[in-house]
Amino acid sequence: MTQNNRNPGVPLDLDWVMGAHVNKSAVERRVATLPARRTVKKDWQAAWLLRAVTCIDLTTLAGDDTPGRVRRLCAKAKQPIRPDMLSRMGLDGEKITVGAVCVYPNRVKDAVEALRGSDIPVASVATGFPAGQTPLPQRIQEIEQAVEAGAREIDVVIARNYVLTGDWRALYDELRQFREACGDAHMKTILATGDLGTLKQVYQASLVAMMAGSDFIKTSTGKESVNATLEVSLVMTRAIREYLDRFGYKIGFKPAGGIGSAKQAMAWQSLMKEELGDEWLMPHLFRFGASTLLTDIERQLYHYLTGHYAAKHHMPMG
Amino acid sequence: MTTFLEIFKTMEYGPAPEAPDAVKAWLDEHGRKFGLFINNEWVTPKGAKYYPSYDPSNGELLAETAQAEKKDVDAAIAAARTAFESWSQTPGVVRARYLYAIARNIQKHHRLLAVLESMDNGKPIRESRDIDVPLLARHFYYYAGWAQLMETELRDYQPVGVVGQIIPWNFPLLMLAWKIAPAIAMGNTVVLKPASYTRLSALLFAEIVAEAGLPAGVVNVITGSSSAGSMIVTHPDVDKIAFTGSTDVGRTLRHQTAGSGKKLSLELGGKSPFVVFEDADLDGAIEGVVDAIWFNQGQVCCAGSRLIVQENVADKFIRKLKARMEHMRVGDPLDKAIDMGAIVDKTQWETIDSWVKTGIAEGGECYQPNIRLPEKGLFYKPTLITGLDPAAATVQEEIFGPVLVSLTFRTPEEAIALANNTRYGLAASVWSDNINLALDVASKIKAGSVWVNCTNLFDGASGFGGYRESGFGREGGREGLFEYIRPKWMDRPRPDLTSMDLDAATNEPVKPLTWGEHVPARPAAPTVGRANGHDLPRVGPHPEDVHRRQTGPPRRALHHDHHRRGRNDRRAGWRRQPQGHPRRGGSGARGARCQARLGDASRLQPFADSVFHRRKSRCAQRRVHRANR
Repeated sequence: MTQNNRNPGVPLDLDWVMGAHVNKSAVERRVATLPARRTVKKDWQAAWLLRAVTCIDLTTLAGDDTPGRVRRLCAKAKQPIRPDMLSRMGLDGEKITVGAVCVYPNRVKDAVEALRGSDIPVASVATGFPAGQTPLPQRIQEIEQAVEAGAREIDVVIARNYVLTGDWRALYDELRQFREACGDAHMKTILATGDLGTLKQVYQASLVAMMAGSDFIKTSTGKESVNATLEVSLVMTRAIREYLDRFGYKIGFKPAGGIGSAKQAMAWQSLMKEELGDEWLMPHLFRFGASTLLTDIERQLYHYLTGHYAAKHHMPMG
Repeated sequence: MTTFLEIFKTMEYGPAPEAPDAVKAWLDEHGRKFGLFINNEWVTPKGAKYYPSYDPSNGELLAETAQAEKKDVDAAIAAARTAFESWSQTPGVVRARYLYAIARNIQKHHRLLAVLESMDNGKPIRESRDIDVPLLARHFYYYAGWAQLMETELRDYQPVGVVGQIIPWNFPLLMLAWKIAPAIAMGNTVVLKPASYTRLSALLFAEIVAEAGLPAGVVNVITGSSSAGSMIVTHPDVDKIAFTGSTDVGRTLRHQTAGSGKKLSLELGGKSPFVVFEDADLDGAIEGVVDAIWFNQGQVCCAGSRLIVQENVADKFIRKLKARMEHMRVGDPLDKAIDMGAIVDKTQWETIDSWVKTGIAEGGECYQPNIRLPEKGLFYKPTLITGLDPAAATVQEEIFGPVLVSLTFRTPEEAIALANNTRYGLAASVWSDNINLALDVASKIKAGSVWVNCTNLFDGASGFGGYRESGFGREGGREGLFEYIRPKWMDRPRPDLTSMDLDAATNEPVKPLTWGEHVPARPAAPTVGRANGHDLPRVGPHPEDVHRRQTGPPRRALHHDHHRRGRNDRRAGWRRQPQGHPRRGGSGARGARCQARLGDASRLQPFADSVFHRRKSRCAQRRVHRANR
């Protein structure tokens, strides 16, 4: 983490939350035209895609995760692009790794072990992921255990009931406790936007999460029926901008779930660059929560280097 | 050359050009020299002068086009007149097939049209590709439907005749679609003159029309200077003029067509308000501003060029807007990742620049983002001028460039007053998340189009046009049809200009008036059978009625018969009504006489016409609703 000025959180400002305005059709229009307004081609496209690789939280969150499965994922995390391809891009000396590896709390130890010697942080989901419907003491305990096991980032899920009933105070208090439990580990707050009713609620929940001290705000668990969309991402990035404007803290953003293609990744990159600025294209402020995206990017890079598309089995699996 | 590693670290945008190859090949095929398109053929006028067309983004010569002269204009109008004889008699369903074919052919040549449009005009390829050309096709699809419906929905109307259309340079293809599609759908034939800055895309369109198989002479395209435009406007065999352009030229055209019996529609300038209330989604409204004033480099007649923000959020809004402007990209129109291309011509660039200087001289604070412009080419930075008041000329006059002026207001009433404090009335945009407020304000702003929480959205089914000095007549939608039809009972008025003291050749007053010379009228001595410059209606029974009473069926029976027919079949009766004069009714012979009389009173006619349209259109709308159910 290169973020020097970490968000400590600020007192809850309910007036700010209640005064939020998000116009759905205006959001939809911006999102529809943005990918048509911005594109990168050739060298620029390849460089952007490689940058996207460094922003991936390589993720496995499944019931059948085993130590062996996690080891394999970590090996891919350390070497996400085939070395021969990197050298053809003239990046022999550069250390290209993904942003983090994201697992369940029970698998943190395996991941930490597998990543020893690299700078790649282990991220753990916590607080009753994905639904968040577990008693509070257990949720806090989960964070503490994950931190103890060596997770440097904790992806916490919010209790959606507080958003849907408008109980912002309760949401804020709970997240403050999460943040305390995280200690030095960075807190990435999952809003589970697919469960929230309106874009305005997404915006309001983003503000509350940041005021409670989140280092990142994240769209989804990947387990809702609708996960990361450009619409909610636009709303959340605008909330980040507003928070920066008021308090001077830079909050990271992580879209997660459903981003499987290089083209989608570039749309998100354009969104970050246009709405927040170049710094939000770097891994300390921007992550993709994805499992299949990496392979597609690798295939696009292969095409950039050779002019041909490779089958998936030409790329080492993670 | 930027290295891969540098891009990886800086994450800059790179070039993303659209290839101009196909356009260049098309221009080369024509030897970079174009004649006039008359009767579906390229006509090279003898001894014609040629005029160059440049790419405004790099100054390169694209091609030369012929300057039409009087004989060429006459030839084009004659071709259109000949084609009108058969085209106007062609069943609507057949005309519809031609319009559908044109629409499909436009889609077939989508990319070629878009690239040529961007090269010719300087607009970003994103706009020509995603907005101009799709709307061009959309208008033809939409009006193809109306061609098919004309005989049922507009059965008491007839085409106007030969239509002269003069279009501007800011949306060469879109303006052409707005004009040609409804005209030919209703059975008219067209002589189109594209603007002198942008002629090439209209010529490509002419080829596409011919490819679609449209009969020769239905659409003719002639290029030339403004004097060629004048020749079309004053030509006696043109029945209607449709014009989009500046208010000054519009005024001239009104003058030139006055008393000639020609129909006229004008779509002129604007200084449209963009009203932002405190309860708006400000980030959304910022994107709205970008769409409003930096769309097409601000060269849009309905550009939202007056930002009117509620005072308590004004500072925040302007701060956000300036931050957003830093993200604008200005450059090569063929680059897919730019927001603004080049200004169409050097004269326009200079006008814009002089307005910005005027704004500063008037006390405004000028803000331009710190972004790179290409070294060569007619580029202008997006510009915001704050701190001006309505008294400043920069706030009142149309700049027609990427320049936004901002004002503040305190109450909704004041917002409405400021929005309406203009001699124009083309469009407006209102931003608020409160639907009551937004709709109330929208209904009180005098503008042809008012967008709520969005801006600059167009569609074939939606009418567009102005209030006040923004012109009259509508384009698009059902309402757009009435510019190209007239009731079957009505002929083109051919007023007797001598009775109005007008010179028949120029339509100008025989005795020119100067300021202060006008003397209020006093009662004049009566002349028999005439008053107010017109023949008086006959008093007492008409000789024909006297004759009928003596020889034909009794008058009462006639009336009774008519009445009963109307009762039994209300729809049929309603449709039959206008075959005579709607208020006078009666037999065909009497209808014809009414026409003759109305023919003299040319000034009365457009008025009666419009009242009649409104009444009919409501009934017809109800019918369409019923059919949809």
